[in-house]
Amino acid sequence: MNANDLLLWLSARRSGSWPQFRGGVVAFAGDDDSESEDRFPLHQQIRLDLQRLAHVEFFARECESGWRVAPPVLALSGSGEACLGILCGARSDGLLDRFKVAATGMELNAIELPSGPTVLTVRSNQERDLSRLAADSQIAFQKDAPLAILSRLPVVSPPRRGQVANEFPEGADWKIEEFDTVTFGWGALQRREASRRRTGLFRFTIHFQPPRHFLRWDGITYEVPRAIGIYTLLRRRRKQVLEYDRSRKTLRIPAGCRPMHLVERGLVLCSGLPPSFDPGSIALRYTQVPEDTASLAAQILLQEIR
Amino acid sequence: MNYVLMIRLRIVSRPLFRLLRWLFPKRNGGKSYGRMAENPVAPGEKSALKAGENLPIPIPVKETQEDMPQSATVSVPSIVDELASVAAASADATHQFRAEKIQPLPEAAIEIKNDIAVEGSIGGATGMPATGEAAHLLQSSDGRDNFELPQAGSAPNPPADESPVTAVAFPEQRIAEGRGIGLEIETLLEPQQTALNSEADEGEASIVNRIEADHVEVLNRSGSPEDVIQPMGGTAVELRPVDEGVTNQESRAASRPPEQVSSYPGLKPPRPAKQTRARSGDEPRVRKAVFSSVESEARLRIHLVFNNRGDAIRALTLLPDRRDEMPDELEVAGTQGTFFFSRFRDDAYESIRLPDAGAALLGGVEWRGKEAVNQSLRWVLRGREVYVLAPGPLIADLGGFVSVPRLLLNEENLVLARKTVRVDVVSALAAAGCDPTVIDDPTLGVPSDWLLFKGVKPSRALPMRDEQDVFNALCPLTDIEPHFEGGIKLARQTWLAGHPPEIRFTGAIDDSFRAKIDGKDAELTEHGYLAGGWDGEGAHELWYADKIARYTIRRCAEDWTAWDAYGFGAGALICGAQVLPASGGQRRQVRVPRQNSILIGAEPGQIFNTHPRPDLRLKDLVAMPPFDPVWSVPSNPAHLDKKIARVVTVGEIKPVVKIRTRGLGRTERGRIAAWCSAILDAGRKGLLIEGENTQAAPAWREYRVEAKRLKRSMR
Repeated sequence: MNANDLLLWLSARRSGSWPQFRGGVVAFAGDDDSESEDRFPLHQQIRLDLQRLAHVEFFARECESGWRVAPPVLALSGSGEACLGILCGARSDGLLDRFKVAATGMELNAIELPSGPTVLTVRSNQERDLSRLAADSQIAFQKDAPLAILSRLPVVSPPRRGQVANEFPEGADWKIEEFDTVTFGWGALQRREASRRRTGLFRFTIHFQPPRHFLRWDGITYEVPRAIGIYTLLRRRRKQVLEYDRSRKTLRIPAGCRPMHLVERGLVLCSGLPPSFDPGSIALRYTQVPEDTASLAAQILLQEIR
Repeated sequence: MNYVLMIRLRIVSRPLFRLLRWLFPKRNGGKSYGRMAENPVAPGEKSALKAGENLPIPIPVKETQEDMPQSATVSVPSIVDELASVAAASADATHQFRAEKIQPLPEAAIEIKNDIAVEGSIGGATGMPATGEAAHLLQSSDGRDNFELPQAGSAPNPPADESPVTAVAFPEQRIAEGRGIGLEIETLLEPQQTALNSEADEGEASIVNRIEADHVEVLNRSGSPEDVIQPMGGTAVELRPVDEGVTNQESRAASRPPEQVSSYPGLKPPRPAKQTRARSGDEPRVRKAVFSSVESEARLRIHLVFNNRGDAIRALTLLPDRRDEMPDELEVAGTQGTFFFSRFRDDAYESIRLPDAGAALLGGVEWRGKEAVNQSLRWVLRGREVYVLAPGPLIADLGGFVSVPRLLLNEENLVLARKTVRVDVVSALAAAGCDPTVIDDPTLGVPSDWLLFKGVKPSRALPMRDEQDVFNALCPLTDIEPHFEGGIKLARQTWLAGHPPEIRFTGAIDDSFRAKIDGKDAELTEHGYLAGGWDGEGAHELWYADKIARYTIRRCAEDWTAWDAYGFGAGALICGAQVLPASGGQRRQVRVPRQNSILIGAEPGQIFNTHPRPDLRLKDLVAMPPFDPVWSVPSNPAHLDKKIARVVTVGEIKPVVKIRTRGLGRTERGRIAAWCSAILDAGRKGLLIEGENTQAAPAWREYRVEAKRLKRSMR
């Protein structure tokens, strides 16, 4: 597993298709054996890490069917005496050399991830030092990255009046599941039952296709992104799922309710670390999240932090 | 009077218009359907047209007769017509196709990289060329080219005789420079496949639409044959110079312009007169290459992956080949059922697991596209009792092991064989110098009635048996082939600087074997063959065993740019970790308290309202004003508690810029008035300045004085 080489490869190629990315994962990170064992596929895990650490954009504008590497940025989190700079975006050997030389005298940390590229962070008491580091490394500088990203995101909202309704996909091959707001898991059900539901979120999967999510809202069906559907439904059921530990500055979210990737990016850029999975409570734990950032993320998700 | 009426009408009509818009919302997001007319050809129509244009000519494959004489030139009348259609219009005598059907080789799809043009001509008994049309080349998205033949009816002078046919390839651009040779010819064919007959070949599709030629000559401008070999990640077809004794070199030389002398010096030592491949006495010489374009059939390769401990098979799958013209996704059906192919790489679909792998391996697999448009596509794995699998990284940039036609010498192979042929396999492997471990436990993933031979590392090359003998797969070839392993591969034969591949060779390598990189002697190290500067930026040439392979090392260009990856109408775009102003101007990001939403710059008129979002309760605001702000003040200080509200210094404290208001436009005067009001309102309320900057208070006083002066001057 060498996600660093994968990131160098992605950076040199700049953009590509999804199959090319999968081919790159196999070439640099090894064969993906997780699919056969009903686990989260390795290439999806790597994709998530690259996406939330702001290295690569997937399926975004100008790379709708694939990926494109983001330009290198030193993303700043925190302020005052606790400034943390995280190296995000594209990498090259030359860039890494410049960055390490420019960071001489600062607290440079390299954190190895199980399924992502090494996280390079720099701590400094002065924001100005990190700004100079970015300039010396010839990369962009982003102040208050978590807040800047989160404050630009739209709030999850239920379907509007006049929004175009959709229909469940036809065909007997589709596997249909319903989201359970108690267990935060998906349970199978029949198409007829799904059609009868007045409110609910349904996942339609068919082999080798990305799943499609449909929200039944007052008897009308809308196709929505997964996280939007989940948090809209949780709001309707008045379920608060975000837990914030003020003493440890950690935000805990049930694994089944993983938020949109840009919200995740805002939370991950607080520490530079992807969320850790707590198998006991089946939850994702985001560390070093300031309270105002956690509160902002919760508002975007129509939640309140407990 | 009229002016007042107009204002009243506007006041009345605006809510009415909004009501109407609410009652009759725009459909389709307000977008016009008019743009659809800009594309007169629907996507489906376009692709259908392309397929029709590139329709290949089916050319029957000639079966090789066993009693065919050795080294004899045998004409191939069936392909003469086809070659006539691709015969070169050029009168250059050096550019010819010649098919000398001496001994069969397995079919392969030859792909040509770069701008290699292929021309063909039909030679008479004396080898003189006739005229014809040049072959088309298809440039695919991934930079791979396939030969494409024109329509059969386009042949100007179909010859009636059975003359020998010669194939010649050379790059257009090089020819334009007057020193061209065929640079790179790539093939999907495995190197060791070249000596197998097509029947014994593993999983190879029998390509229907093809041209056969015993040799593909790669000539320079002057017509001198070049023995260029270009592997593709360890796979290559041999393109050797035409043997002077059996070809029409003399006649070609006679027709060659004397002034066109090859200027290509060549890095390699003088070429030996004979082929390097070992041949047995009775074994006829074999050279057959197949040009394919839109082949309707493709191969299925076996892909075997062990578990992490390496003691059991984790996956035994079939890896369908993919070609450029094939769809990204399709449904196929065969005797094993229906399967869904999804593009995995440019050259392969996702691996397919078989419910009963043992039966499929023995009986073979044939899958055909299910939908009407894909029914011409066929994937074939010929059933047999013995399969050889070589290391995936060496063969196909994949983990695990991938099936190949024959054992690779001095490499660790696997052999999958039926239990019924165990004795034969063991003796054949022993003859090749192998001492393998045999696994026959179905619980370890081995198909029932099959055996897996691990640790098959042949040390001796063996001559082929009878052509149809299934155990030919267990006879390692002596051919020396280069392999570029590892590194960060950016494109075909191109690696990232700092991450070059390790260069290794397979085949009968003895002490006398020498390799050179860019003319320098290469030494074998634990990281493969190295020579000074072998991993430097630029193009490199690897010389070995009288052949040349090329590779390129490329530096990563750091010219990444941000783009509007995400935009939600909040005045900013998100790209990676960056948040950029939607207006595209220079980015100055400041963080201010929510109540201090007005930002003020040093120049009168520099005022920016951050407009806090009503749907978010934010403690701080992130603003991106188009100027360097100095102060942030509350938007409505008159209604705030002055014990709490503050004037906040945002950036570097700059002295106020003195300007003249005379001659300014209405907009600019309006901005200056707003700038003055914001400062004076905050001052009138007596708001304190937050922060410990001692320069702040006098600077703020200066701003207030200037604001007063400007306001007075604009009355």
